[in-house]
Amino acid sequence: MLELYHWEPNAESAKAMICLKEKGIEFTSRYIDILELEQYTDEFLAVNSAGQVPVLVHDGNILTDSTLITEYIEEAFPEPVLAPRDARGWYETLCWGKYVEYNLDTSVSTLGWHVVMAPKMKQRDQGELGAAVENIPIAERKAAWQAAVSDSQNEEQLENSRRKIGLAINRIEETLSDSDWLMGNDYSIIDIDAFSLVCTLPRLVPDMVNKDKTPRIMDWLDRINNRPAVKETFAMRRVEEDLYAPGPEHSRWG
Amino acid sequence: MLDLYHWEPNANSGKPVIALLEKGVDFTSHYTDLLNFDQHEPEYLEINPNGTIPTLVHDGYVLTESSQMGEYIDAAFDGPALRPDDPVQRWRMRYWTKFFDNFFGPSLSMIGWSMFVGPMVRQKDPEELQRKIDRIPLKERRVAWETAIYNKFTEEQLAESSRRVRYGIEVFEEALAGFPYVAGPTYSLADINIFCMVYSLPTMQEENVNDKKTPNLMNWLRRVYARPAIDKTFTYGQTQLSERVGEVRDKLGMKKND
Repeated sequence: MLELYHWEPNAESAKAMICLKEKGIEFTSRYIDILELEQYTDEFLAVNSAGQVPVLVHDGNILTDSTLITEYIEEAFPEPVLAPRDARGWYETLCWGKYVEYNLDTSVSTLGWHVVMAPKMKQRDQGELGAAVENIPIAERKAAWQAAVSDSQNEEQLENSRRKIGLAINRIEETLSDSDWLMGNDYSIIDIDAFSLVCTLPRLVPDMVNKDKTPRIMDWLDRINNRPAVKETFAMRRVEEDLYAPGPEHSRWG
Repeated sequence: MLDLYHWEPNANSGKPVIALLEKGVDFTSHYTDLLNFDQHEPEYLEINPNGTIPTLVHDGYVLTESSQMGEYIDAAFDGPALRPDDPVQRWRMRYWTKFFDNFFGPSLSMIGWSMFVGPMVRQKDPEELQRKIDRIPLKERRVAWETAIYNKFTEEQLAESSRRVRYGIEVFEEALAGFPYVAGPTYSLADINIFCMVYSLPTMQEENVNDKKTPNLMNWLRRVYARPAIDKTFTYGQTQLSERVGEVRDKLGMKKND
């Protein structure tokens, strides 16, 4: 029995959804509407007390954290192979997963929220929204939502996000000049992890990701967009536009 | 050829030291003095341009991520397995390692740096110190060192770190309720990685970590401290940090394994 709690097929949720689809694994979809704060209901917190999606429930075992979920899926469902099995290849897979998360997960959500979501959220009933945020029972997440709803991400954080996205984009573009995929000759969970964040960048930061500046990334995005598993994943969209939510926090220190 | 560049067997540096000793793999130890900024010297940057410690070099292949390094060590060398076979237990191994790397570790380290490391480093010549800070290659690391050295932590930041340390201890205590080790019934890389961050909590956080409040954590520490590889690990240290381990053993009611 496999159930996946997820939001729209973007960012962290997309990592797990695409990975399951690529493996051809049937799962029961449990849609959690992040913008309605459904991840903080008692019912969902009983599944994941951290109040985050995605969550994979496999034969009663609860697995959280999108990067760790893709690694789990790779090990629990070895076919088709989506990561190298030798010592070096696996080490590099783990390092890339960490790199994508560190440089993109937080940065894309920070920037995406500021540019796309903040203006939309202003149209909602602020009293109601404020009260809902006030009720978030997890200190770090409450702080993140308070900052997001008031759109008080400071310039430094936005700049830092753009800087990190720039670093990751350069590294990905460079890697794709040597090989078809990020881990070499074979499509892997790292392409899935990175794609889930990078796929919105041509719209979010068109000055940084475009046909002229990052031709290999644009081609790589096309190739992944055309995969049946990715098409199936996007067919699960309920909203036909890019949405963002407050992501993992920026490193506080060190 | 296996070369390990490490500081005290503490936090990130301790992880590969313990993993290699547990596997029984011979390696050449290169003690790199973090507080003297040896990791930003040109000869070190040639090996690891990021200027972080530890670095493992295996037949010319360079590894710089301390938690992920353990999986490499386990896969590349013979010796007892340090990863469970079961995927769910492996997820637990990685989940808790990550929790300590991302959430607990930085908070504990902020407190430690504010109290001990900052004052120690500030005794150096200010100009020399600034020169050493300026050449740190990673921006994140540069900001972190600057913050620590000049004690730019705010009261709120330190209070939040204390809260996170207390919270981390609580949830880790709960996680240890069902199993003798972090990932489950067997000792794994998670025990190694986490031990490196929490091994001195019974003396550093006496009021939060003790037999009354955290019996699971205390007993887990006793199980890990009892391992021969751990005794050997602390012989790789050169400062008080490793000498203080004796006090922790006293608190746990343990003698050195002879």
